[in-house]
Parts: sequence; structure tokens; C-alpha cells
Amino acid sequence: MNPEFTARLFLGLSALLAGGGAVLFLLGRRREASLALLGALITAAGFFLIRSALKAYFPFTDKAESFATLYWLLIGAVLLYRRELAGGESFAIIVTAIASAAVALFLFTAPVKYPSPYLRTIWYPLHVPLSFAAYAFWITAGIRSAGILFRDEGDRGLTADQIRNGFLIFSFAMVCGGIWGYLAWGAYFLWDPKVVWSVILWVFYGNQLHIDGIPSFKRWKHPLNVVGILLILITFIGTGFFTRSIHRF
Amino acid sequence: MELPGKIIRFWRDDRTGFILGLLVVGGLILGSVVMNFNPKQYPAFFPVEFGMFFHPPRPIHFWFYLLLVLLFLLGGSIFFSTLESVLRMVRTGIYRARTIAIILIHLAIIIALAGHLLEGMGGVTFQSALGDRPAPLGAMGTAKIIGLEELRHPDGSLKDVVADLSFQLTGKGEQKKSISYNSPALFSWGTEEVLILQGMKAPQGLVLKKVDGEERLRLEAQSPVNMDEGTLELMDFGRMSRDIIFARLRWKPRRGEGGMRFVVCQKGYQSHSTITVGANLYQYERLIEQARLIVQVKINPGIPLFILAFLIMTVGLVLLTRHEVGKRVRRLRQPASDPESART
Repeated sequence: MNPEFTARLFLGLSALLAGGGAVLFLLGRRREASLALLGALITAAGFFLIRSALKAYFPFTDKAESFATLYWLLIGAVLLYRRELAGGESFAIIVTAIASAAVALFLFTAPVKYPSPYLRTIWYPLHVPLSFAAYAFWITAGIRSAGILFRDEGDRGLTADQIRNGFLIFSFAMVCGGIWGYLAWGAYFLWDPKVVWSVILWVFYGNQLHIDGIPSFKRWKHPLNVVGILLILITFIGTGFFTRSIHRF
Repeated sequence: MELPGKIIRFWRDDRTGFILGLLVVGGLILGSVVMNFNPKQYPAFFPVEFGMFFHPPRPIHFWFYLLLVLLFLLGGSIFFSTLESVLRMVRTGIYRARTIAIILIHLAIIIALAGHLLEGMGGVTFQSALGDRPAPLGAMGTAKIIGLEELRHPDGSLKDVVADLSFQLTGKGEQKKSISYNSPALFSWGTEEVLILQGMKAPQGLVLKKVDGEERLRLEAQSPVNMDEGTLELMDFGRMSRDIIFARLRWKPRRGEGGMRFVVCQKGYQSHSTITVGANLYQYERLIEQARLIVQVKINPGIPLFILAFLIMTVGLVLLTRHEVGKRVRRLRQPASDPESART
């Protein structure tokens, strides 16, 4: 069997398992749902391993792998917060993850290529997955905030936890990205859309970390968390499709 | 003295900082939109030095001028609130890892902003083309290539370029360094940087060998070769798909009509790398190549501040991560006593 097709098969199977997990969460079968998600994560590893072997490099260098990485990390975030998230919230996050996997499977089907020389540095495979992990935490927080606004109930600190974890991880990603930029382009910052929007996200969520300590602004916490999802979509997808960024898809 | 005190109290207030943060986000979004829809004013990879925005100032750069003001105000807000945290910590004598971590992160942000300002005001960015003769690198000195190697993947795509360079630096004499992608030459504690944008062995000429003899023709640009039956001249090189180079030659016979000849400069393309010149057949033997490198030179006086900011930020992040992980582990070890947490 063609190795690229086999890789996609692994991702497809993983997405099916995740879909099963989503339904189980809705039905309140948390334990079984968690096992399904764990299975999804393990199965998806096949996709990354095969593509990594084909390009003799880390599997985060093209569009398909970018969306697959986001899928994997969103599933990971649901597993991490499986006890705290409502069934509907877990379902919504998993559906978002499956959408990302579907984009990787059906939209970006170009053959695997060797990476460009600019990507051949340890700072790149550190920067990219860390960024996506942060996106996963923040999207999870945004979906939870949307659920809270819809149900008009309390949060018990979960979204603050997710925002903080996302910010920590993204800060590490920014440090790695800055070092990479300095070595590759002579600049840790460029007026490139992807770079500018990464700073937008970092300042936005850095700001959000403080909102719980400002009583007069606290009511804006959840609406802003939801707005954050839009900012992430623009950073991840918008800059890749609708701008002149060097990170263009 | 009351007014300055009021200003500082307002400036360090959490609400002020929060609003300034949102305004900076708005300013960056505005700038991103303006830049995207004005590609002529904002070409790809334009440097971050302030020269572009102030020499001369233009109305279209309004978003940048606004952002400078907002970042100054935000930096000030972070500075005063961090100072207040430090003074409170010293006064109370309570030194918590989480508080120290947060202070370090804020301190790193302030230092990074200062580094950006220094880079904007004093930085220089330019490109230079290097060959086997010394080429200028601005005030830094000169550089030339002493060796160049292209590394390729199995499919022929470029993997890396490794160039050995000899630098003659102003006031420092000769230094030899190797550079490749993501591995620049650094001088003066990283404030001076020379990195590869593009490197290649550019074809200068080619050698053709007579098919049924030992005669060889060495052809270089603007150096026509006189032969018994006419003149053969190399016009230029081109590239086809899959990076296959071909040479365009002009054959001017002493009698009769000549014409253009095309030679594929790669072994294994028998019919396409053999040409008729007069009554003889000549075949491609090898290229005459010269190493060429396009480099970017970056002089950034803000680098020491950035190195400091990165280090402090990393320490702060590690401390905070340890704290958060410890908190999570403790939470996981607790029994689920809250019925609301066992959701159905």
C-alpha cells in the first residue's frame, strides 16, 4: 500500500474514533469516551510517524500536518480536561478537532515533500507544536466560555486555567520562534502577517490573564474568550490564505 | 507633586493596563490590515527599523505612530505595576515562586520593548551579493566566498547550502566562518549577523567535447570561440522544470545561415545535450560554475537586551510552569468530592 495513503488511513481511523468519543461524551459515558479519545491519539501517531519517515524530518512542515497537529492537540486538551468539561462542550471541541482532521485529509492532498532549508532547525519543530498546543487550550477555553454564556452558569476557574496554560505554552513558542527568526531571517520580529497576529494573540491572552483580578471588567471575560477563537482562526488560517505572509499555505 | 503621583497611580492601575493591552491589540490588527492592502508601501520582508516610517513620515503610517505611543504607555503601565509588586514583596518579606515568576515575565516584556526601540532606532538591514572576490558588507567590512557546497535531498530539492567565507572586518582583521541556512555568522555578541538568503553555484560557462574526438570547447559568456567553420558563442543559461539547466548558444558560420543551439547541461539527456556545430557533433561534458551567495546583513544594537529578555522570560516561564504542574498534580490526587465535577 502507498505509504502516504496509509498515513491518511491512520488519520481517518483516528478521526472516526474521536467521533465515537464525541458521541459517548454526549451520552454521558465519560470513561468509554476517554478510552476512545486515547485510541484516537494513538492511531493518529501512525499518520505522523509515516510522514516523518517519508520526509526524514519532523512531521510539522506542511498544510496537512499543520491541521492534523491541531486536531491531535485539541483531542489531547479534551482528554486533559475530561472531568471538568460538560458533555456538550467536549462534543463541540471534538467536532472542531475532527473538522481540522478533515481539512488535513481532504483539502490538502499534495504529495509529501522534503522541507525547505529554512525549516531545518530544532527551533522550528519546537515552535510549531507548542503554538498549536496553545491554540488547543484557548479554543477549548473559548468553547467552554460559549457554553457558559449559553447556559448562564459559573466557571469554577477552568477557563482561567486553560487560558493560563495556553499563555505559558505560547510564550515558550514565542521564545523558540524568536530564536528561529533571528537565526533564519536576522529578526525575531518581522512585519509579516503571521508574526504580527501571533503577537496579537500573545498580548490578547496575556491581557485575559488579568481580567479575573479586575471586578469591573470580569463580565467581559467569557465574551472575550469567545472572540479569542476568531483571533486564533485568523492567525492560523486567515494569515495562511488571505495575506501575503511568508507563512502562506 | 500630587499630579505626577496621580498620573502614576492611574498609569499602573490594572484597568488602565488592561485597556492599553486591548488598544495595542487593536493597533496591531489595524496595522496588519493597512499593510496587507498596501503592498507597494509595505513590501514583503521590509525591516523593522524606524527609517521606513520616519524618513519621510507619511499619513499611511498613522497606525505605526499610534502603536508606538500605545506601546510606550503599555510598557510604562507594566513597569510601574511590576515595580509596585517588587516593593510589596520586599516590604512584606513574602517571596512566592509564582509571584517572582510573574515579576520576571513582566520584567522580560519591558526589556524586550526597550530592545525593540533600540533596534528600531539604531538597526541596519541590507543585502549583499558575494562571490570569489571581496564584496562590501557596509561598515562591517568585506567578505568573499572561499568554498560553497549545495546539499540536496534525494529528489533534487535543496536541503542546505554551506558556504565558507573569509571576512575582513573593520578594525578586527580577517576571520573565517562557515554559514548555512539557520546558521549565520555572528559578530560582536550577536549584534552583527550575516545570514544566507540564497546560495548557489551559478553556471558561468560550459565545456563541450567532440563526440568522435578529444577536442574540447570552453564556452563562457561574452567570449565567442572561433572555430574553422565559424563562431560559437554562449548567450545565457536557463532553467527548466526540476531545476535542469540548459545553455543557449549562437552558431555563426562563415558561410550559410547559423542559428541558436540549446544544450541540456546534465548527464543522461543524450539527444538534448548533443549539438551540431558545422560538420561535427559536440556533447555537453561539464559546467563551469562560480559560487554565488546573497546574504542579509543585520546590525541590531538591541540584541544584548533581547538575549537578557529571553533568558529572564525563560526562567519566569519555567518557574510558573513548575507551579502550575504542581497545582494540577495536587488537584488530580484529591478525591472528586464535588458532585458537580462528576458531570453526566
